[in-house]
Amino acid sequence: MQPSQKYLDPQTLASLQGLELRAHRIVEGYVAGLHKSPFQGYSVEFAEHREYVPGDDLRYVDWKVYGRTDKIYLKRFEEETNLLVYLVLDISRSMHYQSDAASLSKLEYAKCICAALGRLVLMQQDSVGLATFDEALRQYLRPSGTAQHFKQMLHLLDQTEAIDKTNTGPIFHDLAERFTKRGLVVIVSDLFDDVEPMLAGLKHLRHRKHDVIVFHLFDPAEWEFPFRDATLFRGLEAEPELMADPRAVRQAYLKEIQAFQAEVQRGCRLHQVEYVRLQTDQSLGQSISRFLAARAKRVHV
Amino acid sequence: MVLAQLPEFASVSMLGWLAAAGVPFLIHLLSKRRFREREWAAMRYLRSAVQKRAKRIRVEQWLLLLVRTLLIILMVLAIAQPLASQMPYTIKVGERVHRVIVLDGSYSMNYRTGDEGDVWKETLQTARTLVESHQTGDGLSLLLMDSPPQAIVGSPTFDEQAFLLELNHLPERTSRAEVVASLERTLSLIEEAKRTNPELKRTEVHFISDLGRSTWIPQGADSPERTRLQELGTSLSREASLVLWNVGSSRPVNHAVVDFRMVDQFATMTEETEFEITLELYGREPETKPLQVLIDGSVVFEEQVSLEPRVPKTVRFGHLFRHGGFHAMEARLQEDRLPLDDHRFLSVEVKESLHVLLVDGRPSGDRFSPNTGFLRIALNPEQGVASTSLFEPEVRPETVLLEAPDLSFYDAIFLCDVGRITASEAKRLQPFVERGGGLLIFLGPQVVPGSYNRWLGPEADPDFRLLPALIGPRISRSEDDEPFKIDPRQYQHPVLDLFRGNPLAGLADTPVYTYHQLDMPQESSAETILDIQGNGPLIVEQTVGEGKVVLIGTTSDTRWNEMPRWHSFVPLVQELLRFALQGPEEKFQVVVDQPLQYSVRTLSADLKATVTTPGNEQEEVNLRTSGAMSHLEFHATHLPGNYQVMWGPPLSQKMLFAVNVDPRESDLRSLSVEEFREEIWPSPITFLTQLPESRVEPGSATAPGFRQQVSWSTGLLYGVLALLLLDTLLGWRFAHHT
Repeated sequence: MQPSQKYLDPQTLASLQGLELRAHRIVEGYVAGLHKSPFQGYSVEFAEHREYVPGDDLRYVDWKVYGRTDKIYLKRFEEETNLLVYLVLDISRSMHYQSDAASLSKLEYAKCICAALGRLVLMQQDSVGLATFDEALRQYLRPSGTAQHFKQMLHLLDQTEAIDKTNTGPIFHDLAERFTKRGLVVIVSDLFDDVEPMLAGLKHLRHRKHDVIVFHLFDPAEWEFPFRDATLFRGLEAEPELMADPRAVRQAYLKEIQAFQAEVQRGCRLHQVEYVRLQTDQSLGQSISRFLAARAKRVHV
Repeated sequence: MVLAQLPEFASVSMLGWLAAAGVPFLIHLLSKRRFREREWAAMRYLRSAVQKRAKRIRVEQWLLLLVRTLLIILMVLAIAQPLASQMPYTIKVGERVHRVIVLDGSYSMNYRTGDEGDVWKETLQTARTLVESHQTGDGLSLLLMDSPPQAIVGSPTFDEQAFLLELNHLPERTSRAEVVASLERTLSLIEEAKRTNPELKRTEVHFISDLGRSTWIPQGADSPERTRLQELGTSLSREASLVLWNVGSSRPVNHAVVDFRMVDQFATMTEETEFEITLELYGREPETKPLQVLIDGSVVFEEQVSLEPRVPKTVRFGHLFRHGGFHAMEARLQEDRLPLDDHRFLSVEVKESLHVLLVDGRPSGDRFSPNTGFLRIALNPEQGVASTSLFEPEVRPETVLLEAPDLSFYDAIFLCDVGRITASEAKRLQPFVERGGGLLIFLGPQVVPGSYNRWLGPEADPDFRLLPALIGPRISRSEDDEPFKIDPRQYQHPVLDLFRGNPLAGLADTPVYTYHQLDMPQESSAETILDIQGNGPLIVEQTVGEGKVVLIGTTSDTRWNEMPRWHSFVPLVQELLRFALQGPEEKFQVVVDQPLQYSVRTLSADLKATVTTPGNEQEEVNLRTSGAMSHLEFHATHLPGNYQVMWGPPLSQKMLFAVNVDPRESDLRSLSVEEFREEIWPSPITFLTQLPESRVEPGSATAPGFRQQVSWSTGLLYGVLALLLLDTLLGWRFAHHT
């Protein structure tokens, strides 16, 4: 592993204190590791005004220009050239899970992804927003491209703690209504919820012309179920306790979890949602690559 | 129908471990109480998995529990060794069976296993059980492995009560079992029954034995007897279902008097007679036991004897007899669990004097006939000095060989330069030697070798061959030449024991001028006592029947040698005579169940003898007469001890026979199943053991050998193995497969 890329490794990230530092290292490590910048040849259109025509939305009238020139100009074109990235972070209690084999909890891992993507977006003069949710929408930071905004976003991520159980379906519907401007919606979640409402929510987001990437997070233990002794399993989201012999139920459990993941993936494909399965012991490079690919697609549309 | 009660167990205490069968349940319950706690995010999927698998998991758990519980139960039962008190086979209703019961009749079966019981009683009880469990219409036969084997009930009987009566009247065992002969008898009995009773469709043979090693293993690994035994085993297994009931004791300890004999050639009243007793201990720990010797019921010798396991112990003692005639002797060791071999008997005839006939072939007419004079002096050198003399020589001309009414009056006969031997003379000499007389032949100038060789030598009828060598031509050296010298052949022959290490006795220096060449036939049992240096034998001997013949190639006077003048002459003649007299005592020592035999010359046609057994029972025996001889043959020698034979008028003579058990049976080591199968019986046979509580000895809760090999234990162990494999397979399958 190249020195610059070691920061994509969750174990290394776990040793770094502070989300900003982690985000910095991830992005730096990723960019340094590329032979050719994915941003090369890309030009951002400069802002310009367009004369008002009947039917235009009056909310976009540049009143300052009107005050100086008595002409009605719209700022619409300036906004359209910027990419809006909505980071949607699941902070339900299930995201708090961390097995012995993982260096970071799912939530910590998800925060790293959000912080890293936010920094990437800002480096490219785009805007990034952040929404956290569990049973309800907990925080929402509108997209912005300023450094101050990024710091505020990191602070928000730092302060976020897993609180309640997941309820993805209504949340995604709610977000679809809130994200009025088209953008790239990045959902980072374990999606431990009913699949059908959740897919309906994603469909809603797509209906609003958003590009959507789902980073589906798993802890390695959730995917391997490596336990042997008789165990009393206590749910993180207030489910009843469950006594089980892991060796006896392992195969059945793996079948269940794989079926769930396959169903989510199939649903995403159906609704043209980019789907990425991530494990918290994997490098973050995959998440960044998939994000950049989606971003490039979005910009060149 | 299964002949059965509940099975017995060799190790009943092991059954307590059956409680361990609850351990898998206990572990199962404990495991439900002992668990880890873990927070878990993907609960909905885990719950779904558990719900779908719950029923199957329960079934799997119960299955594993069942297998493990069963495994423990089978293991405990196998270690507890169920003894097959039930028959290992089933009998089809309506199928008639010929059940042959073969009892080991060797006296080791008398071994006491407790205060009241012994192996023989248990043998009879096992036989009774087999009889009582038979079906109506089954035939029963009873064979005793004895010496020789006895078919007590040969043809199949259908009368159970009569059979049991025969069984109950079997006497205590005192003899050895002839295994090969017994199996041959069993086989012929089965074949005969198949011919005479074709309605008996199936044959079972039940051997009941202590599996004594000395009984069942014939001598020598590749002996023809062992090969024959294996052949018989194969034949029997083809003819019948074979069951071997092992009734042997687990760790038998035994000591025995295995030999009691007279060291001297004969017992006399003139000097102390030496006896030798050999004792053996067949055990593990050394023991000290009191030994007594009784003569005619009185204790004459006592000693505490230290015995080491399996090291023969020899005790010697001497006794001077005050009275002539037969004496009953007994060596008695403190009794143990097998008392029969703690006593050994000896019959000794004490000679007041020994009658020696000197046949002079050339009587001189003078008072001192050189031909026999030197011998007479040599045999009784203290004549006129001592009041008693052992040898009583009597000089007679050669006509005595035909005229004497009974040569058996004499203990030994010297032929001194007797010219010719006739057929009539040979006919009288032959039985004399056969029955234990000593014949010593000095040659001389009158001897015609051809007549000796014709009637007594190799050319004679095989029944009359007495000479140990062919008498060849005369070989002489003139007086001017150096005489022949005697070669004592390093004093190897027992006759020369006195001369060994004593060169001053002058034996080797004795000059010999003339002798007859003696040619010993090939493959002869004759032995050379003295040689002429570089020229072959001078004195040879041979055992014929119970007597001995000594042939001396030169004269008994000084015509052909200087021997009579040499100081070695007296001891040489006396030792030759003692040697020639050795053996007659042996006919009075008999093994149990062997007949007492003796022959006497009598003119009475209706001579009778009365035999008094050790049990003080008297039996009058009619004698068989042939010619002038009357022959005694008494077969009822089942009990060991001294048997007295009283010859009726006109003889009124008393003699004693000693009857002893065969000491080979004293070694009570038994065969294990493996040894039995490998060394003796590779053919199919079922091994069974009965072990009533009374037979369990201290410190031997589990006996070696058969008890471990009871088919039930083996089957159970196979079951344990199968369950272990099943448990592993199920565990693997349940853990890795849904």
